[in-house]
Amino acid sequence: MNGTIEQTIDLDHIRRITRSDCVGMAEEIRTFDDTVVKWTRMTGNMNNRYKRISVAPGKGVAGIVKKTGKPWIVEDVNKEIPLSEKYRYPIIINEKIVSFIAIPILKQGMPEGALIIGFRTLGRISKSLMMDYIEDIQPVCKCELGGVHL
Amino acid sequence: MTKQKDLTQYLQLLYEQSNEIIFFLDREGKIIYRNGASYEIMGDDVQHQLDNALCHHCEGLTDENHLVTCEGCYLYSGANDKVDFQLFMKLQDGTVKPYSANYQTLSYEDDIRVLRLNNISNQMKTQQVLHQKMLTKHIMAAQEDERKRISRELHDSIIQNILNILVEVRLFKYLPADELSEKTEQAESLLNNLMKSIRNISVELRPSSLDDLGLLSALRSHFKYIGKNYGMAVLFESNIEDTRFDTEIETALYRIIQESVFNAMKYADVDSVDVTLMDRGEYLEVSIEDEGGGFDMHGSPKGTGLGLFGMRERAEAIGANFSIKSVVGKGTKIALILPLKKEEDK
Repeated sequence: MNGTIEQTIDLDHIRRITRSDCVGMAEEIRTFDDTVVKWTRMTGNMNNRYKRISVAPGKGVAGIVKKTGKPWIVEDVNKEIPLSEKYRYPIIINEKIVSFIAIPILKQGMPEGALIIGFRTLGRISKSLMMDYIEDIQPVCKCELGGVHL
Repeated sequence: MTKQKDLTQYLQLLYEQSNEIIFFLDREGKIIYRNGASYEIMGDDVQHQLDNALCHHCEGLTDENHLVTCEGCYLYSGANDKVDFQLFMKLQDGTVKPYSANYQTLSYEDDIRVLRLNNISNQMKTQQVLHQKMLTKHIMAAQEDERKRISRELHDSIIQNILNILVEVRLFKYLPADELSEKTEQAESLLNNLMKSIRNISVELRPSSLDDLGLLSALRSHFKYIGKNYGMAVLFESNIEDTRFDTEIETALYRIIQESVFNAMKYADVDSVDVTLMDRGEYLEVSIEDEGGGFDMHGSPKGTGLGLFGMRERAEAIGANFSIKSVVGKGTKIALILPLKKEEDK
């Protein structure tokens, strides 16, 4: 299933630059009567469940950053996302992500999709360095990333 | 010399006046002596009749698995004294009363044992009331949490979306004809999404299919939703088809299965989970099984622990037998057996 974003983002390259455990890209897929957000591509994944995840627009990690248009960084999932809410972010559960950076992918200034850079151990990212990470990977993505031009 | 004499007097007084029921027994449990307090349990006539008079009045003791049982009876426990346990005795008026019991061997050579019983009815009542209050507190807290969740969902998903749509619609009257068409299409799409969001909230609260179409239909829809939203496949097998059961039963089974599948999704780390729901004529058989990480059944719960507790309560409330078995590294199986009332019995 193809989304609207050009398939030119090298997720492996991003994974190497960020030294992360997994990197995924989510897009909004529009069928004639429905719109859903799916993780279209992923690297470093532990299983293939991500392929089946399909959430309503505005929901899930991708939905949140797409809605806000801003990046979202979580240093420690267990501290910042209460256990009772974790089920809203299936990708975190399935891939056992404990900290992540989620960045909206923009097309002509409008959020079209999202990138998630996931870590399975703590202490590898920090909120203060968020802009640095985004600037590091911006050249790899042949598209705009939300948060860079804030 | 005087001190010893005084002690004997005191002991005599204790024996005669104490609230504590004291039985002096031999190795076979035959009553050698008993004090005044014991008349609460048995009158005069009994003492001369049966050899194991005590056994006749004792209903049983409490162990880890049973409230009342004769397993591990203190009288036949051999050399082991049973100190500090709960015992139930039948009183003269026929009622059964709990006691805090203490069984001790005072002299092996002379074959003297003693059983002492203390009244704990008040203790039990207090504990029961405390337990009830804690339960009520938990239930009220859970209710409030649910309300909070719905309130937040309504605000974040619904209000937010409606505001967006309103902003768009307000501009319609100012748009030129060629732009209007595109904008109305956008608004239509937003309204569609809004409708889906509201429907999701409604189904999450209580699926109408459960009331209108029955258990099988509701479960099928729910499993489809789980697959779509969490990527975990639910392999469902059932022979109940469109059979309807009492609302209470359908609701309980739906919730138990829903919770079990959700737990598997949260903790098991598996791609699929097997659910079966079979009508075996005399009973309904439900099983939810995964080959995931499992958990230590004797360790502390991963979440609040209320999920499993709630499932057990729901099962017992409808008269079903609930069991859960898990082995770390191999998987988890939750099973339920619900006896069905035959048409003739109703």
